[in-house]
Amino acid sequence: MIEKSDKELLALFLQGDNANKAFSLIVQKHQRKLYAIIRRVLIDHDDTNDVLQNTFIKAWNGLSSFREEAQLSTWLYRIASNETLSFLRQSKRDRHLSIDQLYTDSNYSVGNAIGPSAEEIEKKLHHAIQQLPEKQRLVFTMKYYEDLTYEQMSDILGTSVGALKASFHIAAKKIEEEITNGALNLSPANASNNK
Amino acid sequence: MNSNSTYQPSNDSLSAPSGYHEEFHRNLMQKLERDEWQNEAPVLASLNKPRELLAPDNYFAALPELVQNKLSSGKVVSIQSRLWFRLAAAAAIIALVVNFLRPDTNEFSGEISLSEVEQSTLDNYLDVEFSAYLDEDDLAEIVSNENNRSFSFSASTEELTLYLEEEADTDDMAELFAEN
Repeated sequence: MIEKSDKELLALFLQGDNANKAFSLIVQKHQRKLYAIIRRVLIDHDDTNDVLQNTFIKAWNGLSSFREEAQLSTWLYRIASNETLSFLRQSKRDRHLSIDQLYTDSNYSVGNAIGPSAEEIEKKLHHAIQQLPEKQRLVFTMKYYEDLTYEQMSDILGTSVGALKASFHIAAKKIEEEITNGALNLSPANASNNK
Repeated sequence: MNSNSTYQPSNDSLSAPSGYHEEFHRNLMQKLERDEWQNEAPVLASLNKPRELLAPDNYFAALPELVQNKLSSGKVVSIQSRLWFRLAAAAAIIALVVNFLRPDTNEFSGEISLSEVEQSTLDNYLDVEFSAYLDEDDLAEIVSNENNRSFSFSASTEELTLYLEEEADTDDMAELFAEN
């Protein structure tokens, strides 16, 4: 089945008769990408599920007044970003606990493609990301994991490209310091050997 | 968002397919920006990207219906809210803005004056650092230390107004003003 474009789905939604069906198709189309970015920031699946559901509920409430000044995907990312930041500000849960739980999660530790040393580095990277202030964490996640351009991020977050570059640069430097400190003592060459 | 091809073949063989130029531009920017940060952060660039965090089986198959059920039942998932704290923090910030504003210069007094800071540095600080670092711990400190007058930054009224407009939760602010 050919996937409908966002424009077609929006038109279907606005017709009214098929609003529920159209909205379900919008959820189906965008849920994985939104889940991925929220999960990278929040780590915990249940938290991610809460934020993702809230994102779609807010989207439903605002979709009839959506004016297509932005792409639908950008608009959804914006809602998801705001909801994620809002969740982080309201919730002071111990993120380290989430990370420790992550490494005991069978969904996560499947496969032998990654050795113990690499897993240790990966854990340290996750910890380092969780130390970042909320907005920096979101900026870092969008760039590092999702490979969004600064222009796309600017549309989503409503922050200037220059400020986003500065934010990512600061975040990357902090993370480098964190993962090269202590027992791992990584250099680029050593890190590559763990691949 | 960036990985799916969005352009469609065109009937006109001499023109680029619809959406091609936008996608080309995005791909080019992705590569240039990736090269840029990888040069600046070589250790990070050399690491394997952590694996994808997987959702439970059938989660995505069930989610659209779950969302529809929530919508039709009128039950909106609530995230733990600490409204009282946020209102107190918002009130403290507003009080600080009012108390620190000097009518003669329209600027905050601080350890650094605007003239000593480059505009771009100030912009970045306000746009990114101030909003990024002012978390609940910072707000708690402000709330618990009402007489603290030693802010070490300097900003114009417009910049602070902009910050408050961007960062403050409008629902909370409305509720705050309604209560007063």
